Amino acid sequence: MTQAHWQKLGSPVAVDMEARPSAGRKRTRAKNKGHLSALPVVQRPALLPRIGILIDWCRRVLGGSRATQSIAWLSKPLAWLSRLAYAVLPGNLLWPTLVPARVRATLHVVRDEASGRAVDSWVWVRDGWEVLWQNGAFGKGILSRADPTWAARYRREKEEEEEEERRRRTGGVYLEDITRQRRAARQGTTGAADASDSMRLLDVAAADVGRMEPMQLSPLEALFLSEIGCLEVRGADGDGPPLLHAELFGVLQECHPPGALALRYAAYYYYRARGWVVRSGVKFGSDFLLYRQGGPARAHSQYSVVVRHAEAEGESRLCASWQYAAALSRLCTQARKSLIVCYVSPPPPAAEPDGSSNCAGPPDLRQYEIQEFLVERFNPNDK
Amino acid sequence: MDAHPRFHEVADVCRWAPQRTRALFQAYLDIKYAQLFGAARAVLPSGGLGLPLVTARGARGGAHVFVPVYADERFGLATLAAIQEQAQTLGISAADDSSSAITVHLAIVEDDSTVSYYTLGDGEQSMAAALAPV
Repeated sequence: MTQAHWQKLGSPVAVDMEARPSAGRKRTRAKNKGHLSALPVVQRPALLPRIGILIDWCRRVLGGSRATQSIAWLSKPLAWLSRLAYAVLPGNLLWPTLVPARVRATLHVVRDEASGRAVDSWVWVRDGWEVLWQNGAFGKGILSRADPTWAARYRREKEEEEEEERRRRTGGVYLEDITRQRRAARQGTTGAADASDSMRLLDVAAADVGRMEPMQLSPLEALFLSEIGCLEVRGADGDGPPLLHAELFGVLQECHPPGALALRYAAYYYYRARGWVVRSGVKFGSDFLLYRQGGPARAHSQYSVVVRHAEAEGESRLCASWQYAAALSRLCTQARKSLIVCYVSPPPPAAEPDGSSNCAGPPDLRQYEIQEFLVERFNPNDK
Repeated sequence: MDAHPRFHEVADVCRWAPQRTRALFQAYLDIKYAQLFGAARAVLPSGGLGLPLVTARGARGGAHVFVPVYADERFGLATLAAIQEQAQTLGISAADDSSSAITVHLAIVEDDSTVSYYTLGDGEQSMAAALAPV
């Protein structure tokens, strides 16, 4: 990120990582009580703070021993070094989700033939997706549940098939293989692969296997990575100059209702800035699912987030209806998640000289405010 | 999408409904190459429905008709009724025999390529089957 980008975000404020809500069903101070939070801005380079944390831990562990005196003298120059790095080095927005590279992506747009307006769009990453996945669980393989694994599974199935064929030809068939085939025949499946293992029946050319599954970024992920300088988005053919963040936002916004993308992006940015891995919540009826660092590969999500527009005082509704809220809460409870309703308060649209409102350009997130409510069912029998 | 080696399998249908390209193609890919349904193909039904569908055959020979939709999309009753009607016609041609069951599913496509499936059934028939004596 350039110095100009740091200035756009304003004065740096350290994010209090301890302000994260505690896990799962534990009661927190914020339970049933909304707290108003401004969107966080830049938190400075990861390495020096981590050294400082390590030194503090050593001092606590070693107590008043002589060893701590040798460590203590490191802390003062380290503090000066941190301030110097803070002022000089390019900033990293979020040290928990530090993506140490700039990855290339392609933007694919479907336009209305009559008006030329974008009606749909998506962002694909073919090379370098491992960096995004390992540093914040960004993206999803279009043929997998998480990171792209289709090609590896397909090749493994083909190798197993070739190995079995080789054994049949050379006579290396074992009693267990015969037993398995007879068991499959008794269960009514044919000797050939059934639907459960019919990757072998897919006829995919060897040259196409590696191109079958790009990683797809959601619009919010693409905007976020573009904003922190970790994603370079170009046109569908991969050529041409990379899109500026504002240009990318403009194209993606055309495919959404006015204001909707900015609202969800503000909430996405908010949770990402606090160290959560944010994924789609469509399977649980919500907007987002929040995972701890490590993402869905490590553990199930703890929170399910519904994003709402904070309207004028007295007009905001927690949910479309209390029946809807109850249904959503029950669904989350069954899936062992807590429901969070996240109100986003956007600034009023800037007025143009002719009186019309200007909603163009990426949102200035410094002017957004977030208010969260945790909603859980209370059983009076558990008093 | 045309940068994908399998886009040509749905290109003809996408040409008639370009605004549904992503939903159709990603649902088709998921059904055929991830969920491993047999004989998957994209069709544009007649009758003015305007929604491309994906037909496939299950492991037991039954026909499955998938309706690719976007997560923030809304349908009216007329559209749902038209989907059911067209699905019956398409499902018969997709099934192994005319007596096989035809099941209609919504394939809800999210913007990160997640596809969720929900079955649309005739509530009256399902309840009658549930209440029938064993």
